[in-house]
Parts: sequence; C-alpha cells; structure tokens
Amino acid sequence: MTTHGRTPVETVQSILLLVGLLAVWELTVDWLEVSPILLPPPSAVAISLFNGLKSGLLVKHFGVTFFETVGGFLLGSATGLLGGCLIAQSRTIERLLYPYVIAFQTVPKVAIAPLIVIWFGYGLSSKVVIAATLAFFPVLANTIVGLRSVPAEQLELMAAFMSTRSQTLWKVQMPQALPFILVGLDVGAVLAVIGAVVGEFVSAKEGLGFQILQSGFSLDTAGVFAVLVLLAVMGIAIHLAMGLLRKKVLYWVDDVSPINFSG
Amino acid sequence: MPVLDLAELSDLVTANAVRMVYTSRNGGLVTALDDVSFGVAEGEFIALLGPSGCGKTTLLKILNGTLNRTSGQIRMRGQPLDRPRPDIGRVFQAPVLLAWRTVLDNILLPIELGDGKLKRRDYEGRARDYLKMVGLEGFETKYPHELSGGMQQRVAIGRSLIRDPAMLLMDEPFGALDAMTRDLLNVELLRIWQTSRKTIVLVTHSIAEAVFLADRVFLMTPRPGRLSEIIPIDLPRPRHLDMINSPEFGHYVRSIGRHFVTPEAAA
Repeated sequence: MTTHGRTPVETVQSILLLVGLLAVWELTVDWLEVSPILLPPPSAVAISLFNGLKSGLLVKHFGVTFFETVGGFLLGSATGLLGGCLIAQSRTIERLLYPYVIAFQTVPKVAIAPLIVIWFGYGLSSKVVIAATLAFFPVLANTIVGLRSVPAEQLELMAAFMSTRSQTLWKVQMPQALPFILVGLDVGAVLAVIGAVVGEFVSAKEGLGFQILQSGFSLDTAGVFAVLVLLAVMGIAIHLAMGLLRKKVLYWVDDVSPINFSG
Repeated sequence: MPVLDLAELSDLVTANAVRMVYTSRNGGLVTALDDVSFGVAEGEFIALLGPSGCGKTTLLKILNGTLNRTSGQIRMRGQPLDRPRPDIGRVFQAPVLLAWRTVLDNILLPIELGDGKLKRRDYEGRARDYLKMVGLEGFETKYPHELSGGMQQRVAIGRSLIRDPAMLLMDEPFGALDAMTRDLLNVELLRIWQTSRKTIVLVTHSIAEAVFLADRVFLMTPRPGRLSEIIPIDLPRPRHLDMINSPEFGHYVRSIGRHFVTPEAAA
C-alpha cells in the first residue's frame, strides 16, 4: 500500500520486509516440521491460491463477497448520510432519534446477523443488509460531526448575505463536512467487508466467508489462508479507492494524506 | 473636497435607545448595549471605537440584522432594520473565505444567496474590475490558501461590495494583519470609500485608525455598552498616511485617548 510521502527506498524496504518474513515462515515451518494443518508454509498457500483462481472457484466467491460488500456499503453509507443530514438539521430531532441510534450501535451486529438472515433469506440480500448495518454508523456519526463543525463565523457570513437554509447546507455545511464524511466512508467500507463475511459465516452457499468455513471443515488450512489473502486484497483495494476519492473530492485541501486506522 | 454638512443630509440609518440583554450561561442577565442612539448620514464614514467587551461587535451585528436587539428602534431608509438586507455588506476580522471556492467564486458568493434573482454573469465583470483595482488581477482562479492574509482580506472586501450595498459594516477588518499591510489597506479602503461614496461603519480598537479613517468617531464604553461620546474628525480629505504626524491628528488621538485612561469619567 503506498502511503502519502513515502519514498521509493521506503517502499523497497517494506517489500523486502514482507519477503523476509515469508522466507522465515517458510523455513521455520519446514525446519520444525510443523503440520500443514496447523500452519501451512507460504508456498502451499500460494499454490492453493493459484489453483483456486485458476479453477475459477475463488474468483466466483470473491465476486460474490465483493458484490455484497459494495452493495452493503452503498446502502449503509447512503442511509448514514441521509440520517446524518436529518439529525444535524435540528437539536430536537437529534434528541429524539440519537439515543435509539446509539442503542442500535451498541448491539453487536454479529449477534443480530442470524435474525437478519431469517428476515432477508439465505441469499445475497441478507449479507448486503448486514454489511449495511455495519457501514451505517461511522458514516452517520461523521456526517453529523462534519455538518456541526462549521465555524460560527461562516454561519454569520451566510446569515449576513441572506442565505437560505438549504443554501447554507449545500454551499457551506456540506463542503465543510466532506473531510469528516470521507473518513466515515473509509471506515464504513472496511466494516462492510467484515459484515459481508460475517453474514456468510451465519449462512450462505457462496462467498469468501463460506469458502473459509468449507476449507476449515476439511482441515485445508492453506485454503483458509488463500481466502484471507483475497480478503486482504479486497480491503486494500477498497481503502485505496477511498484514498483516490478523497484526493478527487477534497481538491482544496493541501495535504491529502490517507487516514490510518486499524480494523 | 468640501467638508460635509451632516445636518443637511438625511440619515441613512437611525438608532434610538437600542438595548441588548443576553442571558449568560449561568442564567444571569448581561446588558451588552444600553440606550444607544445615533444617526448615520448617507456616505458617512463612522468608526466605532472602544475597548474589548464594550459591545461594538454586538452593535454591528444588530446593524446587520443578524442579531435581534432586546428593545429600541433601528431604521434604515425609513424601514425597520431587523433582518439582513441586500444593501448591506459585511467584512469580518478574519477573511472568512470558503476554502473550496476560487477567489472569483468567493467574491460572487453573495450573488448566489437569497432569492436567487441575481444573475452571476451580470456581476462577473464588476468582480474582475474590483480585483484589478486592488492588484489581484490574475488571481481569479486561485484558492484562498494560495493568498497572503492581506490578499484574502481584499477578496473579503470585494465580496462585501459585489451587490453594490449602500452600507458596509466592517468588524476590525485589518486587526489580524501586520502593521504595514494594515496601513496600506486603510489607505485602499479610503480610496474605495471616496470613489464609491458608500456609508461605512467600521469597528476598531485603534484610536489612530479611527481618527485616520472616520468622519465621526463613536466612542463606546463597556459594562454596560454605551455610546459615551461622538467626536467629529475635521481633518481634510483625501487623507494621506503622512497626516498621522500632523499636530491636529495628534490632538485628536490624545483627546480621545484621555477617555480610556479614566473610563469612570467617560461613563
């Protein structure tokens, strides 16, 4: 993953570190004769990944999970954005709604995933909904904070020049909130991957989460690792896409460094 | 330029017994302004002068119609002034430019606001003329962060002028700038005022600035904010920076300064 301000030398060092770790892993497993069921060597993972991609099996599962993730992310972030705009409009609405939003947020989504599967069926739609419930909150919270972050002077400026409420929302509050909203989107996108996989764990006939369970049941540990590699690739791709979006949207911000987060 | 006979001009703005009372955080009442009455003539340059906390900014917001007074009357051209109007321009202490808009789009912002009846293309020429006048030609497509503080404040003044208002309200517009830029912009402001003949009400806590710019200085004293004295400045116009060293200028500065040494005497 390229980071803002990283020099080519640092990138090479990063890659060398990865190669070194994989070599140590490979040699240690071989030397200590660790069972491949416990920890397969990287070479076995690579072969499993290659075969899975060649046969098209992993490609299909990747596509399913990616679709669920993107669908859930779009649904959750759109709802979060709209809800955030609504709640930020007035303190009364906030006092009315926000306690329930917080209550909803404190319920572990993993725990209600079986319920959502019962309601939305065993197909793609239940996974999309689970991914959406996870992506929803960071977008909602950041939208509210962003819209509220407008300096009092800018609001006074808009009032002095006779701005209407919607003019103030679109011309000042939204642009001012964008950096916050983009952070929410970034976090929400990664959470959507988790939501899709959790949904597949609960009940599914396809997807990377389903494939992890299948490989696990048959003690194909290398197969589990191969899926994990694909999930990491998906997460990184989504994060990079958000970074590009950020650069494109926040054209007026001088330093567009990507947000670092753990998750 | 002949000295204006203020009595002969009809007042643009009149304020009568304006009072402003806030409820403070701990529930107590704070009188920010008490019994403030004055008239401002068309084309006049007024400086609101006083220490921090004397209600200058509060009075400016009330004149802008963005803050509602507790009691008293304010009229502009005969109509009660209790909401913002298109013929008032406002300049803040900070430029308050929108970072995502270019210089030109920042100046044209007021055109897009309100009932939306103004057409942007009718005002673009005026915006470009203004930028040329203040030496910012070629900066139209730059973003605020690419400009110095003085340039940003010039853009903010351009924004306040774009609707060709009758009155400009300025809240310590150059207070955040260095002394040299400040002098330069004061001279520039006088030039704009001289050519456009707008009425200007400018808040400042610099006595020299007030004397240099204004036709009349409104002295304000704090707790509660009152208009304690109105001092006409009979210095010739157009004014130049070297007039600061003249004995008349020094006389005004010293006599106004005495009010602040003993605030009890002024109140």
